This record gives sequence, structure tokens and C-alpha cells, in this order.
Amino acid sequence: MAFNILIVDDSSSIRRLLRKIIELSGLEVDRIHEASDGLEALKVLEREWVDFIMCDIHMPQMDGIEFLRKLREDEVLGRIPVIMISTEGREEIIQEARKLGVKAYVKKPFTPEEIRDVIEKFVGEEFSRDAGPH
Amino acid sequence: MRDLIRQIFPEIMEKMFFMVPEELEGGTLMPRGDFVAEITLQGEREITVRILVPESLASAMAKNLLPDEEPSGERLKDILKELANMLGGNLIVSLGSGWKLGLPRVYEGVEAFGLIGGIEPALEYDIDGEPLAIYLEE
Repeated sequence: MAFNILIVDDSSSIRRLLRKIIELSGLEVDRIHEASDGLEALKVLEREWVDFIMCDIHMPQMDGIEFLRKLREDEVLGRIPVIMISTEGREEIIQEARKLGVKAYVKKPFTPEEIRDVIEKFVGEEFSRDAGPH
Repeated sequence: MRDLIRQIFPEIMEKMFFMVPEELEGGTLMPRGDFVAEITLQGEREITVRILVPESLASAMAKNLLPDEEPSGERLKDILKELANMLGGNLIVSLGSGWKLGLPRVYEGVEAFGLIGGIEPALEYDIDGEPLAIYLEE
């Protein structure tokens, strides 16, 4: 089975870079969806199921923390695991993200290897029980 | 602030863009550029960081980040916004709690020069033969 993934970042360059890293990571991918902020991400999730989300924090309109709050309010969407990828390195924000269920955190700047390692570890931990995505 | 940028900026260029910036003594390389990327940090005071980048360097950064595409003007601006965002985001971590990061902006042409005209750069770099200058307004 292949993964459906949502990338949420206001930078189209970072979205494209993450897409490329995922495609080259060896992870079996069905579709990669993109959104430029939390609001757009919620709209994507109204029509598409994704297995996990990679999300920035600093974004216009709806930032990553607000998006996480909205996500957790929903019984079904609230179960989707999230990896945060952000310039935000303040401990209080990282703790807030963790409280909202963020499974892994990558700080920008990042190398492709760092992203690959986090995805590999994250996918191993999150999906090994089901032997794959939903 | 200057010392913090000196610690943070090279890491961003190396990790994201595979470029090694060489810090210059002021005035070694005439600052020039087509774009100014700006980010504001708000805390006990307001600090604005501006990065002056020539189009040729922005283009080289874009090609290193996304080698499969020919970068458009919008791509260059997006990458420079992200550069300012990463610099600002890493700076507020070092500044401690109580600081907030604004959203990055990119200016070009006359508008860009209006922001930095007559101001001495805080830091200047040579990056693969291209100049990059960082300005601080506090």
C-alpha cells in the first residue's frame, strides 16, 4: 500500500523540495497534496484522506499551531499524525506542538538526509503495527 | 545581533543551498543586489533584518535547492523569503522568550534600494564570487 501525504508550507519552494525528498526517499507514495497554510490544508482534508501531514508553523492566515488545534477538534482528522518542519525552535512552541500531538519535529534549515531519516523513523513507528498506511 | 547572525547565517546557506559564505571586511566587495529580503523580530524592541541579494546569486541558490527546474522570478522571491524566515526564526530562538517573528517580505528594484540606500551593511559575504549584504535596523 502507498502513502497519501499532505505538505503544508507557505513557501512553494519548500513544498517542492519536500516533495522531491519524499519521492527520492524510497517511500511508496500514492499522492502528495499541498497547501500553503492551515486554512487551505483544512480544505484539502475535507475531500482527501491523508496518512500523515508535514507542516510548517509560520504561515499567513492560519499558522501551524492553529491548524493543529483545528485538526485535533475533529475526531477523525485528529488522528492523522503530523511532522512539524519549521524555523520555529522556541521550546514553548515545540512543547505546544507536542501537546497537540506532533510526532516529530525538524528544524529549518534542514538537509535532505535529516528529512529522510525523520520520515523513515516516523513511518516505522507510526505504521508498523498496521503494516502500512490506512 | 551581528554576532548571532554571523553564527546562524552560514549554516542556513550551507545546509539549504550548499553554499559556503565567506565573510568580508566591510567595503571589500561593493554591495549590489536586485532583491531585498526582509524580516522583523518583535520583542523588547523591534529589529528588522534585510538581506541584499543579486539576482544571479538568488538564481544560483534556487538551482542548488531545486536542480530540476529553471527558476522563475517568483521562485527567486519565494526562496529569498524563506531565507529571511529561516534567519529570523533562528535569531528569535537565540534572543530568548518574548520575541515574535513577523512574516518575511521581498522587495525589488527601486523599492528595495529605498530600504538600504545610504546604510552601512552589518555583515558582508562573498558567496561563490557574488556579494550578499545583511543590514540591521534597530
